[in-house]
Amino acid sequence: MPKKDSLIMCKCKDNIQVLVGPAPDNEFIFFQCRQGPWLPTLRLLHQYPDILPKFRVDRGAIRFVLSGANIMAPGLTSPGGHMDPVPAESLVGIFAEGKEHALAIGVTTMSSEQIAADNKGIAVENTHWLKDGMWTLRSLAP
Amino acid sequence: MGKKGKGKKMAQEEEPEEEEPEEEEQGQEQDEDGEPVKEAFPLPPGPGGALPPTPPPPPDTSGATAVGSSTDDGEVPTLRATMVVTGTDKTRHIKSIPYCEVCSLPFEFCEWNPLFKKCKDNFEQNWKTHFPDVQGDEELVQLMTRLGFEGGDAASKKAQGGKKPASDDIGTGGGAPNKKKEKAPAEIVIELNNRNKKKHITIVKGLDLHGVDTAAAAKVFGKKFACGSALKKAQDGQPETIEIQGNVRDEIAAVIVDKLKLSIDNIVVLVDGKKIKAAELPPS
Repeated sequence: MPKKDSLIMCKCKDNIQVLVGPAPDNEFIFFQCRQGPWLPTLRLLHQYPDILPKFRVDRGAIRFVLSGANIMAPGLTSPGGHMDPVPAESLVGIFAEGKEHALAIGVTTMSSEQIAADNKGIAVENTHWLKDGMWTLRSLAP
Repeated sequence: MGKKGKGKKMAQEEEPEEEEPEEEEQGQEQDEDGEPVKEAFPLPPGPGGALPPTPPPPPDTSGATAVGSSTDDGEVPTLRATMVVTGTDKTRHIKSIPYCEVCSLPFEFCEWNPLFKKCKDNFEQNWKTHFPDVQGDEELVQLMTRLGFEGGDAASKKAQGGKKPASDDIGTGGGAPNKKKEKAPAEIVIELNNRNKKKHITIVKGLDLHGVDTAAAAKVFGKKFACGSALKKAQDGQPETIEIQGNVRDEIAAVIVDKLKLSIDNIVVLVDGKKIKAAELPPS
């Protein structure tokens, strides 16, 4: 049984708080922006893929998401897309067509039914994506 | 006691993250945490190493089952190769995810790296360490296709509707300069810009394509014309240029030929927006 190490809470610039994982690695596990929801980091989501409801975007959307764009409704409603039914303002893991791992984590702006009905505009606000600052920093340097 | 206290803290901290911090849930989770933690961590006790002690599974499970019940495991191709899935029926836990050393992403996202070629080279050299279970060429090809290393270019081109052929050029790397060498007569363009209406800047483009040490060249120009001369590195698709303060448009071609041993045929001067060969430049 691995001992539970103490966790560190880091308060960073720009009203961001990070919960840092146990000792040897000190990887970030969760973060929070202002008073917003606590979000898992992508590395954590990669390890526990089922902790968030899944949204899947089609292939064409991947490169935009990877550069931090918000997820637009058509990318989720097209044949390559998929949505777990969720209410508005819930956390979702963004997956991609044909890919296994999550590439972003976001907060929905509408419920999934609404996204399917409207089919336009921002559906998910992208808060954490591959290669953003949180991903590149990765862990607390010893 | 200390440990238990931490456990509770963690549960509380993670709660807001789920966005549904109802009291009932909290109660449940505290119960869970209070109980022998074995239930929460059915992982084999051995590998206490890398990341298994991450606390989230228990509280998160409740959230996941509550919110997103339908997962499409069946549709997503799974990487069974190296992934040791040690979940219970509660939460899937993938122990190690192979990340690309070059771009730090999971390999399947390498194809979106601008330096995709490097990723690919790296993958071809090191795939054995990441995917030890893959054996034989066929399986390797399969794996590479799935990760987008093979045939990914075509697929992504299709997906992008051929919008960004430029990025593909960068991706294949190395190709572009080679082409230019074959074409040999890459132009050295000399251009005159105005500064403060009556002052001028002479700009020389394309020297780097002729294998000239541009930094040294800038210095040579500065000495020759007794003026400021600066190298501007290539940036955002802009070519590398040398900026020379003052109007030396008519003399510079001779200096390039003389000092840098380049053919005058490759030098072009922009006059009133028209390209004129330096050799045919009318004497001013």
